[in-house]
Amino acid sequence: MTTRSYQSKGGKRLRLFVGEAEEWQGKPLYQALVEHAWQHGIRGATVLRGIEGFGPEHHLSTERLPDIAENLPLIIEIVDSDERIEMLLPVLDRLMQRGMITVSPVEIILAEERAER
Amino acid sequence: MSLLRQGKAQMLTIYLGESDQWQGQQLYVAILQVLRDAGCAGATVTRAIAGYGAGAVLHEHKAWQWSSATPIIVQVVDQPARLRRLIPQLQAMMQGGLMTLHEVDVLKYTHARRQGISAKLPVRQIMETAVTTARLDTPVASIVELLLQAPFRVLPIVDAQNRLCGIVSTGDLINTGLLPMRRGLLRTACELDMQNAETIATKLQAAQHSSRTAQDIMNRQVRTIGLDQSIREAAQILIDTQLRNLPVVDATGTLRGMLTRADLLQAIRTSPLMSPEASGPTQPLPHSHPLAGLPVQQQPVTAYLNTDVATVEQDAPLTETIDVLLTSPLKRVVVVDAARHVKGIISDVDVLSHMQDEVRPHLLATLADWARGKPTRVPSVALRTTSGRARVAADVMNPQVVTVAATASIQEVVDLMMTTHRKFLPVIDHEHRLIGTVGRFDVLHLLLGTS
Repeated sequence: MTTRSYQSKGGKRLRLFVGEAEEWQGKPLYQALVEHAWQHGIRGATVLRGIEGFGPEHHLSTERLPDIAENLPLIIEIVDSDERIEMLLPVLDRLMQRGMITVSPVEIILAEERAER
Repeated sequence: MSLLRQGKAQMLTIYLGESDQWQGQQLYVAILQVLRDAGCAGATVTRAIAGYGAGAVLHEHKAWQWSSATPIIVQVVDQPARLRRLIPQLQAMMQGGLMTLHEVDVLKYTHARRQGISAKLPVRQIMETAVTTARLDTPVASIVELLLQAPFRVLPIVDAQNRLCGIVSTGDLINTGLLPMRRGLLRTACELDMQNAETIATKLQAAQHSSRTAQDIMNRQVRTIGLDQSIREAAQILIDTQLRNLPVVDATGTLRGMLTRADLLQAIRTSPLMSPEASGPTQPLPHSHPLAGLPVQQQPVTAYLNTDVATVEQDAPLTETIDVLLTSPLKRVVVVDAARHVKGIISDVDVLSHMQDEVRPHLLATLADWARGKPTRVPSVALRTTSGRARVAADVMNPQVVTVAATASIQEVVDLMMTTHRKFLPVIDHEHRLIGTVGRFDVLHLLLGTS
């Protein structure tokens, strides 16, 4: 049971909470946010759909009721170095008219590069 | 499913692709299996709707596009030590994905409430799997160093196949003369001042220059328990043998984990044994039990009380106090006044830290002799305070005592022990008089009282 070590470094996790129906220049907002992250050299982003939720305006969205399921909550998670997240924040902030952005510190552990696939 | 203690823990978040594979299996399924086998507290897998960058498929296209594989997120909350041990293994399974760690506060963690955890729960579900071990040929100097710094008191000795061969405890080190005194005392002595540290360093040189290895000093008669034996059986062994740690082995004798008194106590605390609904008909108490029929958590502490408690009065001379301290089974003396009101508590660490600097090396020497079973007289310089007054029990006691009322329930006692990190508590009656003590050891009987 010897403990092997691993390499890690500090970084940040950015979470963007937006509505699925929101748009930016005619395309879905979440897609615009992820594309902008990619264009700024961010190495990964993940989009999750909430099954129910409400925002500052207290309009409930739920997939249980198809009538009000058109604006379900989406969460975009981006993990990267402190510098890149700080650089990215104002860019994404400009795209979001409403919603929430949170930043929290994380320890980043990248997978080892494996020779064979 | 391990026991995740409430408080500080870490969350490991793994980002990968749904189509990622590991040895012919979906990667996230394989990872869940690894986490389960390691006894992790729990894991949650979520499927994202879109993303890029996570998983084996690389994204180095010039133009933007979503990843073709759905991103999967695996989240695990567990003790930092366990997660850190698992990370290299997980890392080797992943192909370009990402893992993050961050600290979380666990506010609530209860498990299997519905089914009800019984005393039949196998030990594999509550044992600690992140165990530090040493090899047969590990030099004693390394063992002394490991045991002095580590949070655990025993070091399992294993062979190259991780089979358990023996165990070395701090007690063994004292008996073989490699450690001059018990560890808590050593640590305090070193923290108090340099002069003590030098005295101790001299004593530790025996270990530094020893050519002996683990196999020369280890205890080969190790009491173990099997992975699938019940926590009730574990409690029985810990009570019968008065051991604090029990190595857990599989059928081949391979070490799989360690079980401690604290683990069992935590099991009692979070298990529905302690909840009224679970200790009803499904957990009948034997008729011989003091208050058979009452739910376990409502049993008063007095049912498990140890009345044979070492006490001294506040004005007891230091020689008498140390005498009582060193001969008491728990190495603790409760200080009481004439009406048996609890005034303080004394351990050897308390005695040492209340001495003036120049006295400490002399006192340490005495305590070291006692630890080796050779009682010597308390040095006369220790007997008087700096002002020349004869030193008494009240001068060396710790007045911050956590006591528990005789009317308290077992549940309250266990909660108090875990939240205040006390291993035993003086029990007082309605007039605040000492009537006994209750320790972790006593509470273990709880697991035997339920079937």
